Amino acid sequence: MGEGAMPVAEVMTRKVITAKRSTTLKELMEIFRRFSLRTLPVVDRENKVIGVVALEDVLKIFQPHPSDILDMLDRVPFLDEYDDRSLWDVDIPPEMGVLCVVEDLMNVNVVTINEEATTIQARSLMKLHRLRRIPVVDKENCLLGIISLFDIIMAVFKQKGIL
Amino acid sequence: METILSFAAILLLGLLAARMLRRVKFPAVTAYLLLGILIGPEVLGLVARPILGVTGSISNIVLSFVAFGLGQNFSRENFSRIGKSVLWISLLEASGAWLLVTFSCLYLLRQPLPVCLLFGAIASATAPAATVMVVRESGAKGNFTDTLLGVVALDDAWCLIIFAVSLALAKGLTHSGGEGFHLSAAFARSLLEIGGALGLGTLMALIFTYFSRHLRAPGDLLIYTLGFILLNTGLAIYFHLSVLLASMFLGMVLVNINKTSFRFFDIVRTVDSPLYLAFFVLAGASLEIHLLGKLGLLALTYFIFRILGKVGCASLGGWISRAASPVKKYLGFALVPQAGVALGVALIAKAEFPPMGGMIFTTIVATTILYEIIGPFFTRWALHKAGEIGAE
Repeated sequence: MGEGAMPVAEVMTRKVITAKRSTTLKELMEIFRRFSLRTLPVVDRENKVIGVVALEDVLKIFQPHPSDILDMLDRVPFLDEYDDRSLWDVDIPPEMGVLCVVEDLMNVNVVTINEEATTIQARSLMKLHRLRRIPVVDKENCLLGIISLFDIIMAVFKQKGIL
Repeated sequence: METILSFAAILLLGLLAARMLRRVKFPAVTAYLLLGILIGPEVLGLVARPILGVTGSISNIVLSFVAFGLGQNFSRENFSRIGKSVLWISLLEASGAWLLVTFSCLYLLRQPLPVCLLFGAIASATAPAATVMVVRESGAKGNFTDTLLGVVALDDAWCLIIFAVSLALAKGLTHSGGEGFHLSAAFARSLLEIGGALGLGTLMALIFTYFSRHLRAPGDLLIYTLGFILLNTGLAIYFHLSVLLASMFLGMVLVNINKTSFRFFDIVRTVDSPLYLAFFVLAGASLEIHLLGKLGLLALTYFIFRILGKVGCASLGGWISRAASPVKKYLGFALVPQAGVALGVALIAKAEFPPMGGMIFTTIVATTILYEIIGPFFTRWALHKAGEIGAE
């Protein structure tokens, strides 16, 4: 462990707002609004991290094709840039708020950090992947908390006696 | 023209050409290709000779990037998600076009088997860019459209695999074709090239994953990924293994063993656009225009039998996977466009099999332009017949 580095488990926020596969679009938007969050970890019944859902993922409902097909097309070379249609021009029925669930929107590619890692490793991971919050998990991939840049700065400030 | 000025002209004129031709509904790849023909040595002569001399190396690098990226589609998770229809149709229409074009070249035109194999393999490719453009323009949506998009998304990967196998066979046949020809020696040589590439890609993916834990900054991530793709490509060339299969296996193994591998694929996509642009412009500039007049029957056979293979075997795939009736009847027609990957592998054929490679490349360029003009009409017609273009 580097000088001054602390275990992630000591610094992380333990109370985490999460979404489930079945969380509806309406509930998701309410969580984003109420807690001023833009990214949420998605967990299953055993509290295992199965994905992440971000505000940008909500834009998927404006696409006319399933997200797995669009993900595959993303990997195809030489495709022209997508000309986004105006969000106002797309017909979306009001029922979509309850019919569309997080499972349809979430991204299964998620960066997590183990509880035994240090804050230095957490910061490196944040810099490497350009993230501000990383879910902290145990060996079984169960969610234990979340570590943010804010948590790390606070921990450093406390250690240095600034706060 | 001076080398650096040539590159500047390629990039800026390429961007301009793509913007202009988008107005008449041509994909960017076709715009780059036409620009290349225009500024190439046989028309305006704006491309410096030294640049044309390294087109072979550029095509190896670009296709390594393409194969590496397409390997990402071969994750366990992706295969469990894609439907049976997409898998069967894509596999059969690609193989169908390959076999039909190979046999028509062999038996109707009496061309040598290595050349027929390469023509057949190139026929398996489609043009996702043109298909996606028609789908977007027409506002088509529904089961037929989703199946079509899934098929074109997988198709280029099948094409690279088929081409790599055909190239290995063609090389094996050519090198064993002199005195004391042995078919078994040709197959052994091909198997070595293919098996070695799979082994190399797998080994490199394991080493890649092991050392990736030491990366600290996004810049490192990009340099590390590019470095490994090039190392893998360079080693494949050095040991005479299939570059395409080695690169695809690097991506394929990586996506299945590394939980955060998506970052490596994403970061490569941030830098590939100018490389692809330069690649297609140079492909156009490499065209030997004087060969166009000699194509005739060869181009016609390729053109017709590729369509027959796509249409017939897409129906067969639909029938096996019990797809809906419109998918069985019309999906093959929507796969007529041909562009990017076909041109890329044709450039490899040109470099590997002179002088017949020049004829293969010229045929593919000529038919690509033709397919890009008529292909979108076929795609739109198929979407219309499937009843998925709302307003029409």
